[in-house]
This record gives sequence, structure tokens and C-alpha cells, in this order.
Amino acid sequence: MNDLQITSGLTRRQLLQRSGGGMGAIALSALLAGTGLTSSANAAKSALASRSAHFPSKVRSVIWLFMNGGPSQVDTWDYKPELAKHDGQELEGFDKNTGFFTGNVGPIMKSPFQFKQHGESGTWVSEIFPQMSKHVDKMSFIHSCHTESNNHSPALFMINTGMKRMGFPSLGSWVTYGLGTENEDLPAFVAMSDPLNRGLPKGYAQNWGAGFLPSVYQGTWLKPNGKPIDNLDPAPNVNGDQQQAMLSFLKMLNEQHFETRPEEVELETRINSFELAFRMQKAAPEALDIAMESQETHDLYGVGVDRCDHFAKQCLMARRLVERGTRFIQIYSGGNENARSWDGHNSISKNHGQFAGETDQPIAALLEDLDRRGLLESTLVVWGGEFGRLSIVQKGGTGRDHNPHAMTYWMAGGGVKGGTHYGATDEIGNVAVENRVSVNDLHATILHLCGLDHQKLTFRLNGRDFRLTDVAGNVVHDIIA
Amino acid sequence: MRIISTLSLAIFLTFMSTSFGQDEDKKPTDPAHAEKMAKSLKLFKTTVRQVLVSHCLQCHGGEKTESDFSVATRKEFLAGGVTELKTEIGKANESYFADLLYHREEPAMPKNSSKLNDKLLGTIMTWIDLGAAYDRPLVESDKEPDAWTRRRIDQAQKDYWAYQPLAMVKIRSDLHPNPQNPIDHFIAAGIEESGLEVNKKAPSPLLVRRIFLDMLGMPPTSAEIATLMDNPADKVLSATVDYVLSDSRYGERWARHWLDVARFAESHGFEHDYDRPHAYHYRDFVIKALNQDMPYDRFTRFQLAGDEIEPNNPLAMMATGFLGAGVFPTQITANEVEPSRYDALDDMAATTGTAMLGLTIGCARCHDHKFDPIPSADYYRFTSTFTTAVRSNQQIEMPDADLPQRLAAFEASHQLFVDAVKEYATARLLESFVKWEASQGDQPNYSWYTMKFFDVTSEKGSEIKRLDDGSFKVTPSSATNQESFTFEFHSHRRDIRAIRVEAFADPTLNAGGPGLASNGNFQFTNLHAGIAPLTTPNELKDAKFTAARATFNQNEGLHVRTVIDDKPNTGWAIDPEFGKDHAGIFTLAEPLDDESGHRLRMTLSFNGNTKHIFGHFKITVGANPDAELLGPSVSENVAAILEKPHDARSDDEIQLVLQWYKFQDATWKELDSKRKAHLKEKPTTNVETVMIVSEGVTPLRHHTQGKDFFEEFYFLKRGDVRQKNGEASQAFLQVLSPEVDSIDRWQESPENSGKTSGRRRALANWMTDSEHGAGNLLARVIVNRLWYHHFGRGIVSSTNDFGVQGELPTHPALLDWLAAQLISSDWSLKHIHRLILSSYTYQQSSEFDSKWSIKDPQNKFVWRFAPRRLEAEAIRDSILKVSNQLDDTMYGAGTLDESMRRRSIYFMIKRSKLIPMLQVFDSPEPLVSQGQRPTTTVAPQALLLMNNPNIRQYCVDGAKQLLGESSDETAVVHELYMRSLSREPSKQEIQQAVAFLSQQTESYKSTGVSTAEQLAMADLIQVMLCLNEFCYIY
Repeated sequence: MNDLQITSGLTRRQLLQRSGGGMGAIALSALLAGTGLTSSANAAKSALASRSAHFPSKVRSVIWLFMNGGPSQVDTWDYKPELAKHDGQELEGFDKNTGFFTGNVGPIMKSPFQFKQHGESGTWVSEIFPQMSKHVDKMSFIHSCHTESNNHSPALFMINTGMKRMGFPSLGSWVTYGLGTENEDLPAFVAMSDPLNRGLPKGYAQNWGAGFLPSVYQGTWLKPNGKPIDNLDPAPNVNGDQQQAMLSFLKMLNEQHFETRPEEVELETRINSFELAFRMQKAAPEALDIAMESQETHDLYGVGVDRCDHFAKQCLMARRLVERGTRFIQIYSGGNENARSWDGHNSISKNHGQFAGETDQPIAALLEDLDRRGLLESTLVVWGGEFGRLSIVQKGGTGRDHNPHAMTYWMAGGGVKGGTHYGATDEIGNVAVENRVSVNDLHATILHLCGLDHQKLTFRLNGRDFRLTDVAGNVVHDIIA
Repeated sequence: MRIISTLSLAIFLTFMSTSFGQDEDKKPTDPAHAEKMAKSLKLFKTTVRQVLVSHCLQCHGGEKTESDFSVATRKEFLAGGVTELKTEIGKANESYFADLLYHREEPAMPKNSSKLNDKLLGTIMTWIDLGAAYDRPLVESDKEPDAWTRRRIDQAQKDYWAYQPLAMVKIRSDLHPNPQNPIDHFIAAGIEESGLEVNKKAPSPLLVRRIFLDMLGMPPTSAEIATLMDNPADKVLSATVDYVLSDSRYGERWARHWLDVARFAESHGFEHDYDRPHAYHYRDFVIKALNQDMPYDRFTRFQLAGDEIEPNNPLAMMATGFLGAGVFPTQITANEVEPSRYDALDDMAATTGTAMLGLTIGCARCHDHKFDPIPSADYYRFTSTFTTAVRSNQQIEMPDADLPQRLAAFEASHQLFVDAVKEYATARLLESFVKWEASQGDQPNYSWYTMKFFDVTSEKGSEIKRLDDGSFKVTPSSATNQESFTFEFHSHRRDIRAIRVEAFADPTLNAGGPGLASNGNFQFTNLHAGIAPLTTPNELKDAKFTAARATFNQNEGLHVRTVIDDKPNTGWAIDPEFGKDHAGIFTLAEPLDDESGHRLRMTLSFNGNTKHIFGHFKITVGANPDAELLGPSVSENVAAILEKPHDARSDDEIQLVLQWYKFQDATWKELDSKRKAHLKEKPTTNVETVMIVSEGVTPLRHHTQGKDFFEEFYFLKRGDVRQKNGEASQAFLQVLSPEVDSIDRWQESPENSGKTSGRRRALANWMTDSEHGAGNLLARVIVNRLWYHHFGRGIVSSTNDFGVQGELPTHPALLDWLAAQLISSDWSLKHIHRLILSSYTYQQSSEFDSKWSIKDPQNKFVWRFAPRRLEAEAIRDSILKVSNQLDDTMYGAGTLDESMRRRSIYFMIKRSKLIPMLQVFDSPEPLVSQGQRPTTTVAPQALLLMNNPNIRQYCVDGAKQLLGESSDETAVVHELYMRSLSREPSKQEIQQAVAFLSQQTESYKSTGVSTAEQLAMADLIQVMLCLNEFCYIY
């Protein structure tokens, strides 16, 4: 066998990985340590150890504020004066299979909300966001996002994993796979769902799942009720001293064993993991304990305010986690579907009024708080849902049906150009027409902001190098500062 | 040599001239030119195509064609594009193309990437100078949009090692110092060649542990160790191998490996993730098949087409769950119906390819396989195999070999109960009756009479049966929730003033009845009686009722009065008084007193909620509306006899009376209820609902705005359902078939009533055909999987990818030898296990040696047994075993309850609720086939072992048992070491453990805990379970 044949099956990327260069090498050797206790020093590194990005980036953490159910673009950030002018008119040429309820196609409907301009950027914002509108100059809007499904669960999988089908790693998992975490005492990737018993987003934990990536990269779901993280407390009748004694004894025995096999570095990693675990017992509850925050901070977020208490607490926890080095946080506003989420089929004014009320003050506070603590530039804040909503009314009410052809996302902090608007929908806001941004593009852009090249961040499975962006994706450079 | 190369040259030339005539050089070909082109083509296939595809094509001829320069075809490549800077054959290094690649000119290529290495560049230049040969364009031409559906592979592509027949290589048998079987010779050859040395052999006790962990997924008990070590020293290991291969824990352990590959789960996934409650039978199939050493070809055939091959074999039916184990959405909008079905078929085809052949067939869905010789055409023709295959729940009679014996045994024992009743009835019943009658005096204790019954009809088709005691039992029709029953009775009694309706508690009903509703309730909405004297039976008149009373009324709205109001939907109900007898008495406005007797046509209606119908009831009449509600009744016939003087009764009449009386007799009732209770133990054929995959069956229906499946299957351009390029007929992979396009060889004429298409059976035939079909690769892939699980590294380390992108085998001759062993042993997996376990190679020490580690850090050449961490399931199962808390019940439905104490394979696998305890130790998501698991070491694993309440409970319960067995701490520590680490503790370790126990005991005592010794012992057990020595196989 000659050298030529050996190299023939390899891409440059793989060569890099195999020759020990680049980010992939560490990740890979850590992961493939399963093939035995290799003696290479790399193999001893935790799969979650912090790794350098493909290129320099300011972003250390991402907070994705997920408006579950599909917020309506034309009633929030995508102001369309023409919509009111055509109110009540049939939308010609509309394909009735666009939305979910194909038999409930009504005429064009104006927004029930008033819009005003805000900030130096003069951004038009719906009246339902009185607090967030103060921060428009920190936000970069993409009005031309579009997705590929008109159905909650495929659309949720699409926006979270880049594929409509189930089973692929989520954005948070890819970022964690790429970068590791800054603080192994805490979960690297955290997902928070609705704590008001309105359910989980459709598709459940798959939305923050690791797919075929190793399960260490899946999101840690903070249980909304009871203890948020499993196995953090010793058994009820074991106190700290007693546990400490167990751990010391364990360490002694493990070290006696390790002395006979000093080359097996993985054993040492595992010995250390017990110490890490012991620290995590303290660190994780501390990070989530918002009681440590001042009254002023509580008031800023709206903790204790009936309307938004639950989301305020989650935003505040997110800030505390970011401060301590958690890599990726996703917070879902709203539960399963219909009235339990932003899924405003029946009444936009009631539904969006309610969910805006739940989130406006906490999100505004989060931006302000990150900013004043100097964390905003290292934290990428992302706002959006799984699809937008139609510009026409859903017959039988004053709501709107699902719309995969247009949605608005905004990002703030972490190296984005504040106060800017990218792309546009048509005159009534129904279809993205200018500078269209696909979900793959959005993902490529977020990865880029994190310092990751979406074409290089790959994982080999069953003969194929998988990417978050599959075979597509263009970085939207215009929104990057 | 010469003949071969000329032949391949001839093929090459034919190919060039027929397929790509436009690229053909016009010049007459001299032999040197042809030879150069052949060399050039070889370079193209081995290296250059890869480089062009990964570095150039995207911008030049793929997604776009920048500067009009395309590398897609030879012609375009040589033409040079907009620069018109042609590349000349023979002057490659002078070309503009070379300038850009060598970064001598801007724009340096490949764009946004570092320079290709010099060796690669050299190869490209050589390729150009030899003639820049292409075997085919890198992208489609637009001229014939469906040309791709007819694409042929180049026969030379079959030369790749994985597609070749098994090679029987003679190997040297003098290299290994201490060979135990041929495996060691193969390994020794690699060791020798790499300048390594084999390790010493591991000590037997350690090997016993290694073999147990590897084969059974848990350590041996101290008793098992003692028994095995009791063998003569040279027999210990062979006895151990025999032991584990005949232990049914083997099936549970190794089935889990296959379930990863089969992406097995028991829910649909997606938005609702509904359960598939009957899917676990597939898991049980795998366990059973492995334990009975089902030949692997049969194992494969059953999974692909068990329903076509042996439809009457439950195992074969259960096996088809393989195809249906993938995800499928439960809510599918109109736009998604067709793509979702293609996704489902893709899942079946891709999993089949990966699991069985290590081929990534699924990669050819949107385009020809980038690396392997699998054109997209092959993908569609292969996938069409499954076109009409759907998931379905079927009733299947499970195997039960000893049912006849058990039935016979039952009948024998049951006869005793029957005899007891009969004997009492013939010998003692009359005597008892006489006593009873005497005790009654003049006033009999019954005031209600069952009438002469003729007929009953049910309006909605429920089945209604009259029992011996005159009551009625209802089996509801599944089609209805409401019901009404109409009876024909004759009564010959005089002075009837009331009708009584009794509803009986009955253990066979929901909540014990008396109603059929899920909570045991009923709602009796209407009683109607048409009455006529028997002299004029057709002149029915509606009876009127003046009053009604009952044992219990649910509330005023559901009072028994509402039965006789005029409203059809109001009625009597009894929530929450379930599981008790109830009765309602309805007073007639006018007594029935005609001396000829009466015809009563009665209708009882139940128009309330779901199945709020009587389940077991009786209708009687009487003279006294105030009589006891639940008082006894007697048939009119019997009453007439009882009213006669004793001596006026005939023998027949006495028998008739006894038939009634026995139901009043306490002893008879007791004997009869014993008989009935015993009857329930009668063994029955075990019919279970099984989720299978088949054709012509009722598919599992989802919320789909369209069809569940389509009869036709199309070639889809770029995998897009909107771009159909004709129907795809079935074929298999060209690279593993001797004839192009023909699958006749593997097709059989259908025999089973044509319900299924026979396509999957043809696939199964091809798959297991080691002469002409895919059988050799099938064998290679599975023996490699076995090797991987024994050693932690496959001979082909990419166990799911035997294609060009996969790794090459480290020991190709060994792989082929093992595959041939498998086939020649009638595909016995246990034969392969035995070979491996008995080899010196497997029995080597795991000791590290830095000399060899430098030369072969990944232990590719197996110079030692590489230690590895146990998998999630084995860790949990071992914990249960060591704490002596394992419930070893096999088979059946799983659970999501984490406190379950059965082996981990019996957790239900629900995709949205994977078991956290297993996930944290790297058990994979069951979404696509997973051939290997990563091993991560992270803090949450330590947290789980330290703090998980279930694990703690196992330790506490285990401590209770240990302390109950012995109070000698040293003995307990000894036992614990044997159980958990399969070795005796050293003196020092005993001292340390005893010291730890006393320290913890003191500490718990000081905090006022009454079970201090127990908790301390639990702590010690838990520490043992956290040890590296416990969690790793050495």
C-alpha cells in the first residue's frame, strides 16, 4: 500500500484532525478515547474542556430567547403600514396550504397594535414591547428569515438543529462541541422551559438534544419544578462530612489502583471527575440562586411582578450562568401550542399581548444588566421562534396561522452591529423577499459570531461528515460589527 | 499481469468511447497513450477526484462556475474557462492552474484555504500529464435529466477490498510464542511486522472477570468464581467460556449492542412521541435469537422479511420490528405527507445498509455517493424494496411448547373441583334443601320471581347471555357507547304490582361493576313495558309506573325516578357506590292479575355517557313494591313447585327446585366458587399484540393529512418529491451484484396469498447470498462488530462504514478468515465468540508497555488487551448485581421507572424520555444506527454515582443483606471485594475498609442515626461501585 492510497480518502479537514492540528483534534481525540485508554495527553482532557475557536471571537456565551409557537413578525418588529391599508382585502394568489388550517383562510388583517419609532436608529416597534423598545439600538434585526415547515415540530427541529427531521444535534450542542465550556463546575448548555405548567415545546427534549453527538453535549434541562438538576444533593441522611469521608476514601483506593497503572491517564481524569462533581454540588445551586441578587436587580427584571415573574427569574438565572461561564442558554417563552404559547391562532391581540407582557421587561432588563456589567459584548443574545405568522387572518377569530415564509430574528451583544436592519419582507410582511436568510444562514451566522466556521465544524457519522448547516449556509456579514 | 491490465484497459476504453465520446481524444491511440490514460484514471479515482470534489467543484462547476472555469468534465477542465489559459497535457506544471495551486499567482487556490500539500499537488500534475483522465463527469449534464437513474458503476470500482470475495490467505504459524488458535497467528504476523511483541497472558481470575463483564455485562458472583476456579488450572478458562456461552445473560448483554445498530426505540418521536407499546417484542427477538445462537443469516433474513419467509413463526414476525424502529412524525400536514413517507423509507434503507453491510447507502439519496460506488440510482432501486412496507400491530400467538402438558395437568387438577361440586349436589344438596324448607315455615323468604324468558335483542349489537340463575351478562359491542335491550317474558303469577331491576357487582367488570363504564357506573335511562294478557298477546299496552326507589341514587338528577320520567336521556346512576349490588323497584300503576297470565315486552335503555350500560343484571316481578330491594328471587316455575305439598312433587320437579336452590346454599356456593376460581388458572394460548412491519396489513394510523403509504416509488432528483424521474423498480447494489439490473436470481414466486410483494424476501436472499450477493460483506461486518465489542476496537475501526471513507482493516486476512469461519459454521455467532475468547490474543494482559505504546499508541496491532470503561447498561447492571438487588426477570414490556431493578435492557426506550442514568454514561440517542459509542468522562457521571437516590437505595438494601449474612467485618469486606472486583482484598485493603467502616459508623452515630452500621456499610458498597477498578474491563 503506498502513501498515495492512504491519503486518498482524506479531506484536508480530516488530515488536519489526524495530524493533531486545529480544534477538531482535541475534540476528536477526547471523544475517541473510547477506543481504549490511549496514552496521549489530549485524550485525558474532558470532552467539555474549553477549546479555542476557529478564529478570534468576542462571544463567550449565547442566550437564545426562544419565543415558542411562532411570534408574528408584523405585530412585533416588522412594521408594515401597507397592512392596514389592505385590511379586509383578499390576498390574491395565496396558496391555502401555506398555513396549518388550510380551510380557515381569511383576508388580510392589520395589526391590532400601534407602532412607534424608537432609538437613534428610528426602529419601528409594536406597543407590546415598551421596555425592549428602549434597547433597539443594541439590536440587529433580520426581517427576511424563512424556514421550511408550517408545522410546529418540524419547524422547531429546523430552527434548533438545521433539519426538519428529528435526530440531529441542536445549535447549542454544536457550539458546546466546538468550544467546550468555560466552567466545568456548571452545565455547559442549559435549556429552560415554561415553568407555568403549559408544557414543553413540541418535540420535547429533542429541541436541545445532542443527536448523534456524544450525549455530554446535550442541553441540561432545568426542571421547572422541584430540584432543577438531578443528583446534586447527597442522600438525605448523608451529611457533608460523611460524603467528604467517602470521597477521600474513594480517592485513596483509586490512587492506589492508579499507581499500578500510571500510564492510563483516563483513570486520572476519572479520579478528578469526582472532585469536579463535588464542586458542582455547590456551584450549580449557587449559580441558580437568584436570592443572592439585590432587590434593585429583582425589580429591574420584574421578579415578583405577577405578569412576568417566571420569565424574569429565568432571565436572571441566565445572566448568573453567563457570568460564571456557561456556554449556551436557551429559554423558552410559552409552553406547548395554541394559547399556551406564542401560537396566536385565535387572537393576536390577546395572545401576543399576554406573551409580550410576560417577556418584555425581563428581556429589556437582561440586555441592560448584561450591558452595565460589561458582559454584553461577550454574550450573544438571540430572539426569535420557529416560524412567523401570516399577514391574513385565520378565519373564525382575530388570530394568524403559521407562516414559514417570513419571520424576524434579532440579535444583540456579542459582536453584532446594533440598530441595524437586514433583509425585508414584501409590503404586507407575508413573505421574505429581500436578502432572504434561511435557517442555515442564520445558524452559519451565529456560529461565525462564536468564532466557528460552519463548514469546518463537523462530526463524522456512518461515513459522512455532518454539519449543522448540512450543505448550505451563508454567513450574514452585514449584521456583524 | 499483462492480460489483466490489458483487460482493464479494454474496459476503460470502451467506457470512454461509449459514455463520454465528446471528451475522447480524436488522435489515434497508441499503446503508450492508453497505458498513460489507464494510470491517469487510477490516480483520478484514488486521489484526484476527491481533491477536485472537495476543493474545487463547489465554485467551479458545482453550485456555481466562477470565471467560467469548471472541473466537472475533462473537456471543461482542459479548456481553462474565461482566462482561456488552457492546461496542456504533458505541461501541467506550466499551466495557470498550477500557478494558482502552487500559490505562485493570485488568486491562490483553493480559495480561503491553505495550500494543498506538495505530494497531493504532485499527484495532480502527474494525473494531468498522463492525460487528465476522468471516469465520468463530476456533476450531471442537463441534457438528459433522468440519465442519472440509469447510471452504471465502473466495474473497476468493485476492486475495493470490502466488495471482494473472502480471501483465504495462508499465514505463517511460527511467529506466535504461544498460540492458542489461528487468531493468534494472524495477530502475531501484524505484531512482528510492526516490531512489537505480544504481552504476557493475564492471570486466570482476572480473565474470568474479563470474560464475565464482556460476555454477560456483569461480574461473577463469589460462588461462580469459586466453582470455575475449582476446575483444573488448564480448564478454568474453557469452562468459563462454556459457562458464559450457555448463560442467558449473554443474550441480554449482546442484544444491547445490536439495538444500538438497529436504532431501536419504542416511540414515534417528533411532536407527540407517542409510545409504541408493542415494539418491545423486537428487543425480545434479539435476545432470544442470540441465546439460541440463531444462525446470523437467518437472524438477518428475519429482520428484513420474517413476515414473508416464515409468517407462522412468531420470532420471524417479531424480527420485522427492525424495519419499523425508526422515527416517524405523528402530525403530518398535507405538504409533508409524501416527503415524510420518503423519509421513512430512507430510514429503513439507510439502517439496513449501515447495520448489515456497513455501507452508507443513505448518502446516495440526493446525489451519487460522493465516495463509494453507489449511484443515486442504486439508492432508489434498493429503497423501493420497502415501498409498501408499513408498521402494524398484529395479534400473534406466542410460542408455548409445553402448553399441551400444562393443559393436561390443569385438567387433571380441575377435575377434583368439578367432582367436589357434583358430589355435593348429588349426595348432600337435597338434604340441605329439606332442612332449609323446613326452616322457612309458611312465609318463604323470597318475594321476587323471574319470569319465563323467550328472547332478548340488543339494539346496537352487544352480546347478551342469560345465565343459569336467570340473570343476564352483557359483552358490549365495540361500535357503540349507548345501548337498549328488549326482552320477551311471560308471567303466570297473579297480583304483580312491581318490576324489580337488579344490577350486580361482578369482578370481571371495570371497577367491579355493576356498569360497563370505565369507572363501573351505569346510567339506566328508560324502562318501558308493553303488557298484554296471554289470551290477547298482541294487544300490548304501555305500563305506567307510579313510583321508583333504589338502593342508592347518585344525586337528584341521576335519581332512579328519572328512569320512569318521559325524558329519554335522564337516568339512574350510582357513582361512587361501585363494586356493589344495586336494585331499583318500579311500582306499576295497575296490578297484573289476568288469570291467563301476561306477556311482558320490556325495553331497558341506556342513552347516557360512554358505555354506561348494565354489565350483569336481572329482571324480576313481585306483588310487594315495598319488599326488600336486594331480597332473593325464585323462578315462577320453581315457586309453583315450592307451593305444592311436598309429596305432590315429582322427581323432575325436585331436580328443578334443586337447580334453583343450590344458588341459595352456602356450601354449594362455596364449592362452586372454588371451581370457578380454579378455572381462571387454565393455561391459555398466549396471544400478544406485536408491532411488526409487513405489507397488506392495516398501518398504524397517525394524524396524517393524506395517505399512510404509496403504492409507487419514484426516482427523486436531489431527493426532492417534486422532481420525480420515473418509477424505480427494485434492484440491489451494483457493486455487490454480478449481473447489472437483474435480481431474478434472488426472487421467489409468491406463495402466501400475495399479501406481500416478495420484495423484501428477495432482498433477504441477496443479502445472505455469499456466492453472488452481499453475503461476504454481511459476514465481514458482523464478525468485525463482535471483534469490536470484545477488544474495544474493530479490525475495521469504523464499524458502521466499510466504504472508501471508512478505515482500512488492520488485519484483512484475519477479518476474512473470521468471516469464512462464520459462514462455514452455519453462521454461528457463538462459534466466533468462542474462537475469540479462547485465543491468546484475547487472554493477553492489559499491562501497559511504553516501548510498544510509542510504536502503536492505539493498540491497532493488539499487543495488549486495551482496558476500557464499561458501557452504561453494564455499569448499572453490575451495580445491581454487586448490591445483590438485581431482578433477573427476562422479557416483556419495559418501563420508564428509574427505580426498576431489572437489567437496563428492560427500560422502555422512549425517544423524548431517555433514561438519564444511561444517557450520562454515553448511551446513544436511538435515531440513526450507532456502531460505536464514545466514552466520555464528565462530572455528572460522578454525581450520579455519588448522589442518585436509586443507586443509594441499592447500596442501603445491599448493606442490609450483607450485614444480615455475617457480622464479621473482615468476612463482609472480603465478600464485597469478591463480588465487586472479583478478587480478594489485600491485608492493607481490609484494614482500610474496616477503618472506614468504623469511622463512618461513628460519624452516623454521632448524628443520631439508629442504623449507623448499615449506612456505613452502604457507604463502603457505594465507594466500591465508584472505583475505576469496578467500572473498567482490564
